[in-house]
Amino acid sequence: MVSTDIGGQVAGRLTSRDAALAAAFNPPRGQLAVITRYIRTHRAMQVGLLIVLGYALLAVIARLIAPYNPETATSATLQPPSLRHLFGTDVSGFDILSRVIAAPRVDITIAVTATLLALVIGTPLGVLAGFSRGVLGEVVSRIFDLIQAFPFFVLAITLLAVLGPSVVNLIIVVAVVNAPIYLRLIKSQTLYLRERTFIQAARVVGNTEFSLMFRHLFPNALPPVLAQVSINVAWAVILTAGVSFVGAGVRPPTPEWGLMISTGASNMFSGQWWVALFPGIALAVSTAGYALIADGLRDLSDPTRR
Amino acid sequence: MLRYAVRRLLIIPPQLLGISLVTFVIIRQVPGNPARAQLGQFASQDAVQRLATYLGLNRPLPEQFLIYLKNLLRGDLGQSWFTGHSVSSDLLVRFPSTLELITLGFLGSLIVAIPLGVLISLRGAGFFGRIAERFSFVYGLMAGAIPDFWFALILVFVFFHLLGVVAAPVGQLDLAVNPPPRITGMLVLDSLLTFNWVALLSAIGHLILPVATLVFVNAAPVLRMTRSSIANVMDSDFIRFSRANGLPDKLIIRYALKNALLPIITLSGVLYTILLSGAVLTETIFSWGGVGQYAVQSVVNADWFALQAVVLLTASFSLFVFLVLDLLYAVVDPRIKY
Repeated sequence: MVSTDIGGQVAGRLTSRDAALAAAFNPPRGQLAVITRYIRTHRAMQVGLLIVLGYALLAVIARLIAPYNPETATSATLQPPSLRHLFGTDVSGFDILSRVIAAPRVDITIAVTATLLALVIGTPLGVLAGFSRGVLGEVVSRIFDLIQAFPFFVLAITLLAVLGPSVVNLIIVVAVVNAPIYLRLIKSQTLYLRERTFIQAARVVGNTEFSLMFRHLFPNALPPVLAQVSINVAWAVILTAGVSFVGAGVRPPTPEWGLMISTGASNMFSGQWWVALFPGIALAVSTAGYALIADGLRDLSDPTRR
Repeated sequence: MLRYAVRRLLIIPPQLLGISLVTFVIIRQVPGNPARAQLGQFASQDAVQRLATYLGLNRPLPEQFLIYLKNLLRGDLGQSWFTGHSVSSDLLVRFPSTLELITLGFLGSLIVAIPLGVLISLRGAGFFGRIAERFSFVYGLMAGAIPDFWFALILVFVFFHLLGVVAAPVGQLDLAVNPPPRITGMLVLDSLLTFNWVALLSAIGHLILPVATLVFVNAAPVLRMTRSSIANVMDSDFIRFSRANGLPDKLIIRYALKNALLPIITLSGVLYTILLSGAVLTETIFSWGGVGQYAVQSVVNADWFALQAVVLLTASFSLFVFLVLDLLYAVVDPRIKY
């Protein structure tokens, strides 16, 4: 997209898109330089990285720099932004700025953990579903088809009603809803790779099925799937906020963006815009950060776009 | 083609059976005693027990499931203990409203995104092209990052509170307006069919903001797919060959668009089903009173039969859309044969 000068250099070293990605995620010595050079020329990716790292920092230090305790109400209720409360206060007197910057610790943690969990659940099962020609693979695929046929949002809030609303359960639910994406991606990779010569060679020298799947095939199937992780984190943030918005997610007074937007929803009808505006902007900037990184990874994985 | 369609239709019942079973098992784990919920907290323990026995809640789960299936085959979806009506009559009222909302949102997204995508793809490399490229990048980023429920609230603030140009964003009609007689259950269609212009205007006024929300969020993926699909086709050998043969640009573009259509159709179909399950949030904000709100309500109230029916309805809808998609492939692309 932005990077034109790097194209020739990278293409010169790496011939296929698999190799480019493999290098991106598992760089041998020397090729790390290619990656850093790539990032240096890709402005969208730089901005994305900056945002994501900024939020990660906030998740760690927000409570130290927050002007008020994000979980304790002040006596000033529904105040518009002022010098005392830069982002104003909500109907119970919570300082919105303090809550907005404290929320990444909840939202980003849930989204990132859930995405990684989905990856851990989905990818081995995907290899299994793609590699085994027997009943087992078929069964795994059909089960995940079933999960995907469910209306995902209703599924998420139903599961939360069963498990009870808590951060841990929210992570589990977001992971379950997202795992089929990884299963599908890695299954299609596996179907393509399992006929390749290196797998046949590995089979001929006497590897077990398990070792074929997870030592030889899996590392080769993984890179294109990893490119999906970043955009998936963005979806997970929005889903997390969404279920909290309808009251099925984390409980007040936990500082969480969706919950804060839900608190301010009725205020929007009567003109107190600041209650829902600021958490929404904070959320959108963070998801945009992950989307920008995803953009960069996609360009990196697709030689025609580099 | 016909044989394929029949075969696909035959797979749907077992799929639905699987979905019903899973839903049934999951929902039975939702905490809350339906008999207690129905009678209220002041009812005696004895009465609750009697009702539970009457509803068959004390029987073993497999037996309950068989009874549920038997009723389902008779078209009886059970009773909602929250609304007090039969679930099928509840859904009959609510589903058309949701369908109207998401269909307009869906069509709006296609009408905005596909021409725009074509325009951007076929532009020259000049000044206008760069602006269009920039615009579609920024818009795509925003639409992917901004949660729909927040965007809806911003629209409400700007167009209802600040500018006052739309009706109060609550429900589907102004309270003072008499709803048109029920024909399809979709207000716009019914008002049109009965020439009720007052109701039509009011219904459209209430639809504008929720539909705008859906279009804003969902046009972006269609736009992106349109662009990449056209780019792929324009890069293909047969287009290069047509160019080499000296065919006029207009004809080449027509060839390209026809071939670029397939991935766009796929994505659109998936989007339509996502809209149905994602309508929950938009419906909640605009108090739409459709299936989405009904679903949330039934989760909150442990309204088992209602929730089961909603999941079944949404899943059947998705499976049906996917079937239509696959059949549409063969229509659009004569190379595909079933």
